[in-house]
Amino acid sequence: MADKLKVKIMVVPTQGKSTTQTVELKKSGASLKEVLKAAGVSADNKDLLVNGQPATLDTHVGAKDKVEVKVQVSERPRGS
Amino acid sequence: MTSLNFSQQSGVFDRAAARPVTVIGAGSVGSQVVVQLAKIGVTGITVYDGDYVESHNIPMSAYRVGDLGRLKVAALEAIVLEQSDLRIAAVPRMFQRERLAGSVVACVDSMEARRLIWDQVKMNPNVDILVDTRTAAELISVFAVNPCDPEDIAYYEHFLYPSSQASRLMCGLHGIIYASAVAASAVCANLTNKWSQGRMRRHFQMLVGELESVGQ
Repeated sequence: MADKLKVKIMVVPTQGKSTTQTVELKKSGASLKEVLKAAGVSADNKDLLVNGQPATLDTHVGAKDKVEVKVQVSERPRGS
Repeated sequence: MTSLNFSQQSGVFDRAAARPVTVIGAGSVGSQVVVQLAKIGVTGITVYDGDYVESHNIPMSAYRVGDLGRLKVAALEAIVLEQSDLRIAAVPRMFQRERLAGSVVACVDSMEARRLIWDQVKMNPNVDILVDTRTAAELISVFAVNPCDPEDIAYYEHFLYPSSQASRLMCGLHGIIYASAVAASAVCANLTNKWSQGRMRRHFQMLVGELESVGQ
C-alpha cells in the first residue's frame, strides 16, 4: 500500500473556468471530508464525485498503485 | 403532422423513431427544447407550465416581445405553429401528479418539482427516458436516465437533494440564452440518440461561457 495519497481536485463554479489543484496526504487513504479539508475546499452544498462516481463526505478515498484519484467538487445548478 | 421539409437532416435523425415527449416547464430551457423538437420533426409534444411570460423571460427564452403577459404554453403553441406548422398540446398549469408516458423532459426550477416528476417516472415502464436540465449562470447540468435501470436510479437519486442544498440563484446570475440553448441541445441530442440508437449520456456538464465540458 502506498503511504502517500495524491488527489487531483477539480472545482467547478457556476461561471468562469474550473480550477484544479493537487493535494497530498501522508496516508494511504482518507475520507473525502479529510481530503477536501486538507485542500481548503468547501463542500457546502456541492456535488461530489470521486473518479466519476457520486460521493459523499464520508466516501473513502484511497490510493491505488499508479492510479490517480480524481475528485470533482461542483456547484449545484437548479434553474432551467 | 408538420409540412416541414426535413431533407437536410434525414441522414442525421429519422423522425419516424421519435416517441411522444412531455416537456415539464416552458422557461428558458423548456421553450427552446420544444422549438428544437418541433423543428426536427417530433410531433407528439405536450408541454406543462402555468406561468405567464414576464419581461425578464424574453432575453433568455424562445418568447417574443409580443408574448409579454401571455401564458407561456399559449405563446409557445403559437411560436411552434408559426415556425414548424405543428400544434403542440399546451397544458396551462403546473405539473402535479399526472400519469406520464413516452419520453419526459424536466425543465423546472426547483428540486421539489424534480422530485414530484421523479415520483411519477421512477420504475414507470411506460417512460423510456427522463432528461433533467439544471442551469445556473453559465453552468449547465443535464441528466439523462432510464427510470427503470437500477444504476441510473441510484445515480440520479444521489443528485436529488432539497432546493435548500442547491446553489442559490443570485439576481443577475440566473442564466443566459446561450447557456440554456446548449442545455436544450443536450436534451434533444439525448432524446434522438435514445430513440435511434438506445444510448444516452447519463450526466453532461458544461461551463458554457468557457466552452469547457466538465466531468470525469
